Formats: sequence, C-alpha cells, structure tokens
Amino acid sequence: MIVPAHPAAALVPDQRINLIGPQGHGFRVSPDSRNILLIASTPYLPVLLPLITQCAEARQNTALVLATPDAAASPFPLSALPPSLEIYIVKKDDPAGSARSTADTLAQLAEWTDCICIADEPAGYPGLARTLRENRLRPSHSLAQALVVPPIVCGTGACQGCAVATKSGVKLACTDGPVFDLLELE
Amino acid sequence: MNCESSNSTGTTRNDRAIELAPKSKMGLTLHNPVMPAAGCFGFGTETADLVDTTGLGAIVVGPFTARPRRGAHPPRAVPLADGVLIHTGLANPGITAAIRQYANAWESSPVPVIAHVAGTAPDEVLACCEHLGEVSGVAAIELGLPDNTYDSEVHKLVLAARSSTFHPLIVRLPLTYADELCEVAVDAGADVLTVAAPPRGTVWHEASQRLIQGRLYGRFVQPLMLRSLCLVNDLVDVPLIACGGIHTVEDALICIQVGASAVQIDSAMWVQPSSLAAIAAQL
Repeated sequence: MIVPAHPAAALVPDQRINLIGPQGHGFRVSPDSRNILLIASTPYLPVLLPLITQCAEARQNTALVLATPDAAASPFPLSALPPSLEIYIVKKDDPAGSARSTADTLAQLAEWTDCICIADEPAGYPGLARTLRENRLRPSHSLAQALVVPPIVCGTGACQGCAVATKSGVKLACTDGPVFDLLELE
Repeated sequence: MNCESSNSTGTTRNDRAIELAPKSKMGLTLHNPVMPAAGCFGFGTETADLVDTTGLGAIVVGPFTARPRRGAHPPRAVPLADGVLIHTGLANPGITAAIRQYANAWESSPVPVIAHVAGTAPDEVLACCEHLGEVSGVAAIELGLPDNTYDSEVHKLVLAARSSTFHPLIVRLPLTYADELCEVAVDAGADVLTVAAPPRGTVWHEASQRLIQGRLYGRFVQPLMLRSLCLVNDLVDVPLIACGGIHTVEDALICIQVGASAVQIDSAMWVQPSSLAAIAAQL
C-alpha cells in the first residue's frame, strides 16, 4: 500500500528494502455487505485495487468514485478494472473542489451503500463525514472506513509518532490503523 | 581526561560485560554495552517480535510520568532529509498503569530493564521512582532531564529520584546543556550519565501549515553528541552512556573510544530493527 509522498514511492527496481508487518489493519469488508462504495483520488487508486478484486470475486455490488484531474491520466488503466465495477469519475481541480465533487456523489449513493472505503487526502475527510451524516440516517459504526497514513517511523507503536486524532483519543496508524472509522476521525 | 582517552569508571568483567554503576549499592551489570534508547523501544512489548534482546546489555523502556499523558496532538512526526522530527508529548499510560500492564514483560526480560522517567517535576519524579522501586523487573532508573532547565532545578529533580530509590540512577542530559549540567547531576546523586537526549528542532509542517517543535533523530545527531560526550567526559568521573545517531558498530566504537562505557541506539532501530542486535553482536 504505497500512498503519494510515501518514501516507498521513491524506490527503484532492485533496491533492497526491509518490510515490517503485518501491523494494524486495513479495510474490512464483510462478506454480508451487498453494496460497496469505494472512494479514491487518482494517486490513491492503487490502494483500493485489491479491494476491487476482492469485491468482484465475492460478487458484491461495487461502485468506485474516482476523483481525477483527467481520467485518461489515471496511473491504472480503468479499462482493466472488473466490468462489474460501476465507476463515477469526478473532477479534481483542487482539494476543495474535489471534496465537493466527491461529496456530491457520496450524497447520491449514501442510502444505497452499506460499506464505504475511502483512500484520499485526509484533508477532505471532514467534508465527506459531514456529507454522510447529512444523507444517511444514523450511519452505523464503521459504515465508512478511511485510510490515514501519517509518516510511520517505527511501525510497531514504540515511537508513538504516527498519531491520528479520533473522537476516542489519539490512535496510532501503525497499530490501530491505518484504516479508521471515518466518523470517528477528528 | 581528554577526548582521546577512555573512561575507565565502567569496570570490565570480561570481553564485553561491564559494571555500569560500580558506586551504586545494587550495581548494574551489563553483559554487553549496547541497549536501545528511551522512546525508541516502547514500553517493553511493542518490538518483542522484531528485536532479539538476548544479546543486548539492557533494554530501556518508557518514558513514564506519574500521571497518564495523552501526548501531543497530531501531527507528531515530520520526515526530514536525513532523519525525522518527533514530538510525542510524553504519551504514556502513567506509571501505575504502566506497571500493571508491563511489569510481567519486564520481569521476564532476559536482560536488565532500565525504566526511563521523564523529569517533569520533582514530586512526579519521586512518585515514579517509588513505584518503580517496588517492581522486581526493573534494574535501574534513567531520569530524563528537561531541555530548558537550570542547575537548581536539575539538582531538585535528580535529588528527588535519588532519595526515592536504591536502584542505580542514570541521568540523561539534554544535548545542548550536557556539559553545563553534568556536574550538578553527579553531585545530586547520578550514578551514570547518558549523553544525551535528542536535540530539539523546529520544522514547517506543510499539511497543517504550522511549525512543529520536537526531537531530532538521525545519524546527523552523532557529531553533536560526540562533542558533548567529549566535554562531559572531561568534567565528571562516572560511567557515561553515549546516545544519539549511533547507526553502526563503527559509530559505537568511536563513542567507546572517546569515553563511553555503553551506547544507546535510537533511530537506527527504526531504519533496521535488527541493527540493535547486530551492533551488540559485533561490538
């Protein structure tokens, strides 16, 4: 799971790396979920690819909201995605604009979905959380999961550096995340 | 004693074993001079699956405070070109909860456990040390001094720790004022000095559009630490632990050559967790 600006994004072929894991937890999609809504901006799309495959194999109804400045410039060919995946392309001109466009689509699909997985810039998460509360009556716990990846220093919880503020206190992305309940995030 | 001579206060028992606190009633025998630095190893269980501690001299857990601390509001870590800035705000469960949660792990540690107490205030230090003194798994206490402090405050903090425990007392000096405060710390009862706490810095955090202050970690700290180590080594006659930017066995050897009896490994653990055991094995 390599997100933009992550040091791993600068790796070159044949470079030797050491991996620590697994730690924490990723997106959790229940087999009982019927309608899965995935939300990402273009740089974060690779994070959701395994989930897209998993949902397609489980024959779960899946929709992807992809915020992109240019659909043709996607790092991953959208035509290679499973045909059963419904794709909504929303324009991403700037962070605020992206949040509005993505939020519009979220508002449209909020009643339809029973599981939302989001991989995007955390700066847009408060707006998405607000949209979800406005368009979904009493959203259940963990209805919407969101990826938050601050710089992770030690990867074990020892350094306490990768803190994420939530309504139930400060959590660590490496051991408690990096996927959190969207409505729990502060 | 100059920078090129070796500090002989840590008594050698065999090739690598040392008595780090020969003047302490309880003593602190380490079978290897290598240990993790406070704040890098967690509270004792976080790195259990990653770090083989059996070949180390000790582990250093904490920092701990008398009362629980939620720590600093995120963001806490900012990557730098050659390291990282971290500001945790001393996040910890508080000393009594920490003892309940981790005492069994400390008890079963194959090497001595050194508990790091943050020097927030004399009464808090006293409370922490009293609680830790009752934990059989704790072999020594390391007191971390605040960065911006002065002689009389240092004296009070060290004296509070000294008066509340028979354990060997290690005092971790702030890097910037290590040479100014080392004699006060020894006079107040420090058995060992750690040179030094990571230096403080300030960086601009683009995402939150604000300045963040915190401790600087990385190999670039080592020259700063070596300078302080040399200065402190000339001023006091107690065993010294070198701490700051030690990433290789060569780094560790330099520290020992200029007067350190032991070394603490900090950011190297985050680059390669096995480096701790590797340095210990090669030293």
